[in-house]
Amino acid sequence: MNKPRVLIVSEDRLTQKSLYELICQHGYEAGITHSVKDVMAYLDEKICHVILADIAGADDIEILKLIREKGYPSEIITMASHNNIEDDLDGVAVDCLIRPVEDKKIISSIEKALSRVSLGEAKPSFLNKLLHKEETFYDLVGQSPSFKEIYSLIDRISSSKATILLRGESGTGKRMVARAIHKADKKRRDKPFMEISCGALPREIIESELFGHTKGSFTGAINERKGRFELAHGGTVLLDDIDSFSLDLQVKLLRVLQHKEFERVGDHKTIKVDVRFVVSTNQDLEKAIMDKKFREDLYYRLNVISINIPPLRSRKDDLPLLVNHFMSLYSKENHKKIKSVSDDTMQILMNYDWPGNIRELENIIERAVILDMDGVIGSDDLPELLVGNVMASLDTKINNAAASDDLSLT
Amino acid sequence: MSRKYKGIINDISNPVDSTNRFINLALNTVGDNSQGRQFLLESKQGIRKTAALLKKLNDYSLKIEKEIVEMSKTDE
Repeated sequence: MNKPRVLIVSEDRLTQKSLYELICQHGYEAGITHSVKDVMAYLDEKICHVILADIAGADDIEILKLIREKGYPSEIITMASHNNIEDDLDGVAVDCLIRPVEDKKIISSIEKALSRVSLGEAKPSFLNKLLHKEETFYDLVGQSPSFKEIYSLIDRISSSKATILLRGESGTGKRMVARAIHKADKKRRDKPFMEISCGALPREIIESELFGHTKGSFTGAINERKGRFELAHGGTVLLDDIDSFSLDLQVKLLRVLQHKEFERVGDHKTIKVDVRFVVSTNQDLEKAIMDKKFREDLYYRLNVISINIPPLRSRKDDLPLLVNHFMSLYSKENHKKIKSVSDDTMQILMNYDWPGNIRELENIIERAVILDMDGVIGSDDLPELLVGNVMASLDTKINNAAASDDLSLT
Repeated sequence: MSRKYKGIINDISNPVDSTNRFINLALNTVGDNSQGRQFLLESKQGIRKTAALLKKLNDYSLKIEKEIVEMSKTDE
């Protein structure tokens, strides 16, 4: 039989260490996460029979409820400093321990929790996440078939070293997908994620930014400096707007992608790095090759695995999920209690074409949350231009339909 | 004020609780009549006193909370 595993959840280092020692001395395996927020990521990686969670506030209780709803094969024990949280827990935990708590009590609670769980080694995985109808995947929000395909692809490529090319219109969430690739990679997720907006870096300093420089290599280089590729060693580099690289820089980049090596500006010493590259573009690279603006050899090097991120208008099934996600995000940020979005407002949002994609939706919801006065986002909280556009396009559709009816009658 | 108390209780409870646990773990490693055991048991007394103070503070904060809730109900 497998050794039962207990996951200790606490921000406090002393609590973590003391519980770890106690639990291991009683013959259990122990794991540690620093906050309740990290528990789900841990449970996706490892099976865990008991979660011993230090509760700091109401948010933690909500997350524990979510863990319970997701159906992970784990029982929960909570620890808190106050004895008035039991009502809020609403049956989520097997036991609610109030500090200071005796060691005997902790062990008997673990035994009680273990008597309720099966000690089989069911493997929690990405597929389980999908089965449990998770609405997010490493912070990506969406359940539409096109997005599920992306989740599945990320899951399959996460441990490979291959360069990934992300293609999609502006605002579709290419950066979020790149971050998800980084987080899904077990070896790299704790290492740096370096995001480089190629189009935003001035031409004169881009080489020094990427590769670093030695002291005195050019006017203003008063100190030796590591470049971003070097700083990202062990992690992931996102090269955003790769199409904006000049042709001569593309040659240098090709070498970095192929051999993972380069020299700092003004130096001959070759530096080797272990970096996973993700590049993104909203341009047609094939056309850029035809126009001699993009090197064909670099294109083939980049296009090993390509992910096309669909525009929001083609995955409107995800719109309610995204609206709720941004609504709760900005409600918290602005200390507001927004309960819902009215049906007619959701209808307007569904009928809009979203040329600015998710970025535009995010801005619209943030604005609506700030402007809302009654806890329900209504059409009056949306920009007039957006409502006007939707109404005008609906009118056009109705008129067209009426016109075609007239024609069919003649 | 009640919320402030709760924050303080939480911050002190963590080290008190884990120090008590470490003392218990240490007690398992020292001889029955050793001087080390005596010192550890003395430390445990100190921890118990702090825990009792925390409990008093916690009860007091709950009392304040209840009073505030009742007062706001009367106001309504």
